[in-house]
Amino acid sequence: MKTLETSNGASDSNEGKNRCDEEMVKCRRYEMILRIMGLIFTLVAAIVAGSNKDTESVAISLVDGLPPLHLTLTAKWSYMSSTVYFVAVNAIACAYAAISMAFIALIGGGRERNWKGSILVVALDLTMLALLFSANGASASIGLIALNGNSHTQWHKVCYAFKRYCIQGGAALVISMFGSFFFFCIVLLFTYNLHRTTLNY
Amino acid sequence: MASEPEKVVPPVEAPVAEPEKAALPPSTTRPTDYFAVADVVLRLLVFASALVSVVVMSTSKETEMLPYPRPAKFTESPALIYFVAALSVAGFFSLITTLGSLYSLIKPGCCAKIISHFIVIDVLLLGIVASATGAAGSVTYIGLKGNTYVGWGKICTLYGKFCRYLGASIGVSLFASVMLVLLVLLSVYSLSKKIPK
Repeated sequence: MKTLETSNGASDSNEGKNRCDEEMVKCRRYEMILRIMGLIFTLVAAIVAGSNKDTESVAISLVDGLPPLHLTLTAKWSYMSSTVYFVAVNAIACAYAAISMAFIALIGGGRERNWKGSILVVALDLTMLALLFSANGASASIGLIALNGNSHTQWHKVCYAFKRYCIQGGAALVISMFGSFFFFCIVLLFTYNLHRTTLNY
Repeated sequence: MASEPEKVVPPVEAPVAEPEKAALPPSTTRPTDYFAVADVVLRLLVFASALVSVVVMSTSKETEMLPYPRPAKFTESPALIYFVAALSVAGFFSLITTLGSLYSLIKPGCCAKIISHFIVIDVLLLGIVASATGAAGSVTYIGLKGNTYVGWGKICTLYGKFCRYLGASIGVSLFASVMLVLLVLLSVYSLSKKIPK
């Protein structure tokens, strides 16, 4: 009777470990999918924001009585420091997604065996998340000022004249927000894995 | 006859000595959990820096005499309002998690599952604080340098104290986000230590 009970107990714990290993493979696949999506979205956001150039003829009225002066002005992404920061951070995040995918595929052979590599990947994931969120915040605040202007600091609105530029910048911002959401999901997935692994012990 | 009382006495002394020895170990053999202490310290730092940022930004009002008194305050820019709101939320949640990990330090082994839930809160706070820092930082940078292409002038030459307060507040919130990154790494490392090899 006692030997039967112990064999049943051992098979139960083996089943638990096998289920954990199978789900580890599934989680590895989900993580790869999330990284690929993050790579694609940040790449598209960097390209859309980096090809943002618009030349328009703007009507500027200097004096109220005279007809307005028509100037041909160019709006380019490199003229504004926050859009330069946005493009740079999205390019870095895209490159990091590619490098970390290669790193995990080559070296990450199970979390228990390679803790230093895992912690490095998590640390860089968090840094990329923070950088992406800050670039999104910067681009959004500058876009809001360009859209509405700020009467207190005498910063006039710009988007009424450069509609295509502002719409393209807004689209790049939305795409980058999706990309940073995927980076956030990667960190959540890692935490979920860790939580489930420590629950078993 | 004389040896028998000697044999009888030691066994009586031995049981008296053992309860004393048994009473000593529990108070001295509990090791200090450095991870839990570092956890509480980092969370307190995050709360303190969020509080400092909010206070410094809120008290950064400056009035200059252009022909008429013109005040510069943080409520004039939506990015700075977002900064104050986001950092107050971060300070509130970091206070809650500080109290939670302090309670877990005082009574060890009570809330082991909560540590992994705190990791999710910390990552969310990191995203919020980083985006607030980026938004306020970009507005302050334009106020500092101006932008000739768009016709936005510098305001920091006029409002020196305002810009200094803003810069200090943003620097402290940058420190808070670095602390949050370290906090998540510490929590992940301490959870990983519990997995037996």
